[in-house]
Amino acid sequence: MTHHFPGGLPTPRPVIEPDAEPWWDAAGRGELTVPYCEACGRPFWYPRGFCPRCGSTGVVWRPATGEGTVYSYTVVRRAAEPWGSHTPFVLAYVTLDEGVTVQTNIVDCSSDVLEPGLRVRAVFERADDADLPVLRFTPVDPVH
Amino acid sequence: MSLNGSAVIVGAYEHPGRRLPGHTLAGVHRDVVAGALADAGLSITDVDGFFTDSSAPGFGVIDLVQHLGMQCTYTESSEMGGASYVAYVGHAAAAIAAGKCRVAVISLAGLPAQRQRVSPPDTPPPAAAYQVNGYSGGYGPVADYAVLARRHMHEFGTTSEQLAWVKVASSRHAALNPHAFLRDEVTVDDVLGSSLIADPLHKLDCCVVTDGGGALVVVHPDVARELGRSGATLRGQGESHKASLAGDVDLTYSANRRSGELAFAEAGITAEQVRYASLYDSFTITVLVALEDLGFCSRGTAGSFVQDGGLVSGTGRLAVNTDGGGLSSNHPGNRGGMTKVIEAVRQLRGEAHPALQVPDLEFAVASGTGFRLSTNHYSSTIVLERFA
Repeated sequence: MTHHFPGGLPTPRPVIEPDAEPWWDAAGRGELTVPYCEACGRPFWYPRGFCPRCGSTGVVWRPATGEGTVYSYTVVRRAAEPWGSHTPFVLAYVTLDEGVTVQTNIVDCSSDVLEPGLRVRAVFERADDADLPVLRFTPVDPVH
Repeated sequence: MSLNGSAVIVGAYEHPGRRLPGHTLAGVHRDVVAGALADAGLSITDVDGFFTDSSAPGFGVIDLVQHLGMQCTYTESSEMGGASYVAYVGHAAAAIAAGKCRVAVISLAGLPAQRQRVSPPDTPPPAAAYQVNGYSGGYGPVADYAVLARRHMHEFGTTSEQLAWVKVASSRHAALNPHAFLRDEVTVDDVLGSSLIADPLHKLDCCVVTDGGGALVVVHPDVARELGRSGATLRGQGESHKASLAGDVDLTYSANRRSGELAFAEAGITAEQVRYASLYDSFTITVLVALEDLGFCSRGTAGSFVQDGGLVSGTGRLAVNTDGGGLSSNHPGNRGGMTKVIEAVRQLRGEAHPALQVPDLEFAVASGTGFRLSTNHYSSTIVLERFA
């Protein structure tokens, strides 16, 4: 049976590390950036002010394509609040085209197309104007 | 310094309770420590090392040490979730080998069914800001393991029926354990017919939530020889951390891969020589990944390894969790590592249920993972040899 997973999931207020503010500033403009290490040249996730592989503090924030591929997913059918009133919803890992894999939700998506390999694009959600933008993904080619 | 032969588990005790209304954490610790010491033939005044996790009541371990009446020269309360008690066996052996203590007690107590659970930390981890759960309500641990199961299915063709066989085997073992929380044998259809919690994991793919606990007594080999009680000699121990948080995610293996390599290397044996394994079974998929990581089967083949009763003692390919495991018997305090070590010791002593006892068992493995396999987790593996 086809199910449509809507957007509008909770956006709990995270604690922001000061050295990741460039990422949040871009997210606030609706732009997805990915941190790259200037020393080893590789992207990493999640955003922070140093490279978790080599320790370098030379970090540049590059605009991402905003597209990626579902690596794995689950449909969560039971959860505590604030998520409980939004079940069923999709928890997923998405591999960005830049190569890093992000834990996230898939929103505005039909259960018919949900599978590893699905192409998705980034959207930012905030349940309230006072909330911070939360990175989520939706199918590039929506099927409704 | 190798830990091979440096210590012997001479006492092991599992609390028989699974629902303990009216009990306190301190009371359960007292019960299991007394039980393990009686099993070893030692008393509380012999103890000079104590290990427990961060859920101990009071300040670190210090309040509990004074409450129980111990005079310790070595204590530890490092937090590795359900892997803690497997790791503590190695840490206790290291302390004994270094001369810091000679009689170490490892204790677990938990009362989750009484809602006596540890509050989440006030400060969320830095990764939480970029994940959908953080510590701010979360979506529960089932979903974290469900994404592993989905990926295993996608890459290797593993099926829900194969996952269900892990639960079926555990239920057949639990049917013979009078203390098991769930004693009814279940079928593959029962598992697949139970409600989905997080696709593809059903309710019966998940471990039980139980009160209770357990304790171990780990001693210097000289003490073990004086006691004359059988037990289990530590031959090897390894531990490892695995996270996905640089953005390199591979959910098809766990930290067990590295902890198992280290433990087997220290022991100087291979998985082929092991006929009993206590494998962490928070969920059915946890067992599949551990079987591959520890070398009991090759990568991607655990589904066919477990199907058709592959984990049933006596008739299967490998005897696993003959007490019924966390899936059917006990997962006290949401931390499964303690009962994993206890059942391995029972098997090496020849004290498992007669119908499930592996005959002439020489080596056993116990392995535990702590926290969440899809993100940030820790593992410890021990190789034990019969001590008679």
